[in-house]
Amino acid sequence: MDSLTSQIRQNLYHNPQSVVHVLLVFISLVVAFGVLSSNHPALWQAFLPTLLMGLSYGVISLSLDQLFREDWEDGTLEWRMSEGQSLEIYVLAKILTHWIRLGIPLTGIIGLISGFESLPLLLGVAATTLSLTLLGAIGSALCLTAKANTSILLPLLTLPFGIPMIIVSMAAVSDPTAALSSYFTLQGGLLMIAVAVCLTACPYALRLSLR
Amino acid sequence: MGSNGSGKTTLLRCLAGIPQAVSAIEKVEGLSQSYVGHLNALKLSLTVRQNLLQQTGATPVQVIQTLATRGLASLADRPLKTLSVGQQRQVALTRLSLSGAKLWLVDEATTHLDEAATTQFWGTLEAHLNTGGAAVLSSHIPVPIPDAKVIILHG
Repeated sequence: MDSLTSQIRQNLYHNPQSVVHVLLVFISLVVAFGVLSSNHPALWQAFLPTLLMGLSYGVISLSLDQLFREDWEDGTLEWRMSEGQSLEIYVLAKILTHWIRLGIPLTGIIGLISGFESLPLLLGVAATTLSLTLLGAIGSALCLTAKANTSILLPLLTLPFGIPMIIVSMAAVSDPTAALSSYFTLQGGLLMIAVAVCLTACPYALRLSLR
Repeated sequence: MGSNGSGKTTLLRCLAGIPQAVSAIEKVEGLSQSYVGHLNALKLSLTVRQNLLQQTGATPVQVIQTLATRGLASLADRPLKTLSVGQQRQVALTRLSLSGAKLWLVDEATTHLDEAATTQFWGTLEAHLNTGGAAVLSSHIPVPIPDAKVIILHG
């Protein structure tokens, strides 16, 4: 009954304003940094990649903590399981919806700031935001049963695995001409690992949360 | 039936296949099933109609007809959050008929329902049973269905 695309369409229709606030935080921090460093172009050049990728990680983690919570609390998750629906497709639909809402705008903004210098750079950033979303989704599923404020717990849990992705992307953004050869391959590889791990770990964590 | 904490919900969840991937019953019998748990599994921001359309694969006409037979037609376009708890429960129970499943698994079906709605649910259940369906319910009140098998759990 529910294919991947129809689930994504339903998700997009539901609660569309959920990521607007984190996007605004991202934009305002980048603008603030731009204003502060307006007299020091070298500073802007040196710190921009770190700022962009670090902030991307921050806003993605912060926004993901509610990814499965509503469905978990209102019984939708339980009901889906009783219907024998594929949890893998459900998880993938949730993640792709979130990435369309937040990952693609972030990639667009980063591309805009770096002047759209190369397509591989953009693709690499897109791959990284998707990897970070996949990674955060695992954390989100694992944090479901935690009663404490999970918006702090989630970044802590995923930080060790997110750091390699951020480092590679920072290097790629700071050196857009070299992006095709080395960085893009690495970013793509990390994305593949994230997909494989996420589609195993997330459904497992969700089942665990309903025990 | 059974007292609080005796394992009614656990039993029903096991039958429904939560948290295992495949339900025990589906595996053995190949039966289609529909489950309504403690939680209604409805989205508060969507309307009654949208909720039922998303969840059951029924056509819009079927949804409206079924809602009308329950006396809920006037609520079809209201967001779920504007409904009372009892009305939300009635919408969740409507899902059972719309799903077209042979086996209904319902956890404390009549919680929050008023007397009229409770009577109506027993009527719907009886009609479902008479057309070859089956149901496993947990309940705190006696089920007024002749020759229903009652299992009393003792925890």
